[in-house]
Amino acid sequence: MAIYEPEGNWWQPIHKDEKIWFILALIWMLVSFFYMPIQHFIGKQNPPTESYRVSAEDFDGLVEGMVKKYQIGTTGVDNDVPLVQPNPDEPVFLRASMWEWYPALRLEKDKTYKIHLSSMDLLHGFSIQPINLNLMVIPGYDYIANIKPTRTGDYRILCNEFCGVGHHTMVGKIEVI
Amino acid sequence: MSDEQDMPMGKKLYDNVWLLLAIGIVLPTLIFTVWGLIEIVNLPYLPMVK
Repeated sequence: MAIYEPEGNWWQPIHKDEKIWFILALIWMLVSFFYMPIQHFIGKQNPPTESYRVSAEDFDGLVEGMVKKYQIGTTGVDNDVPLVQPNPDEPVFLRASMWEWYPALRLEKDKTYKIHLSSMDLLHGFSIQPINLNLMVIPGYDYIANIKPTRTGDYRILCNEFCGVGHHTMVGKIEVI
Repeated sequence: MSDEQDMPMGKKLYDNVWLLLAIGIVLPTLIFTVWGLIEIVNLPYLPMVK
């Protein structure tokens, strides 16, 4: 509510120029609005929103099952974790916890992987560098990222949600062969 | 009285601050909060857990 309300009938018919600008802005707004879902499909930038509820214990069981089945070694450096080469036809599980990405993954180029992400404790951020993919990893929920690596090399997974004093040491690894 | 009747819809709407306040609270509550809660409550459990 204004301190001084306009007196009388303050409403004036819209001027022609204002109408033109209003219509142009409206058209552009609608174009932008409808382009968002179109970009989802043609731009291949937005991850799909497939997600489930899952307890930390259940998710941990799935991670350990996959590690047991597909472990080929350990990273040996950083946070020494198992190195796993999963089957592209099976779901891949990646666990976030203070302050570790577990396990390290070896993926094959041009194969599509369904990577399940969940957190054991609190909110973490899944960020693949240097390609800059960002997703939130939320405790109690499983978020599925469909990832198809197109270039070989070593990639780092950084946590990009502050998660405590060891946040900066929370670095994981993805190798693409 | 005739002024009141001739008043355009836009002026009537913008003069009604309480209606604007109600719309401003109800609309985001429904679209963000309620819709978000419905999504979370209806999220299924991970099917591959035995």
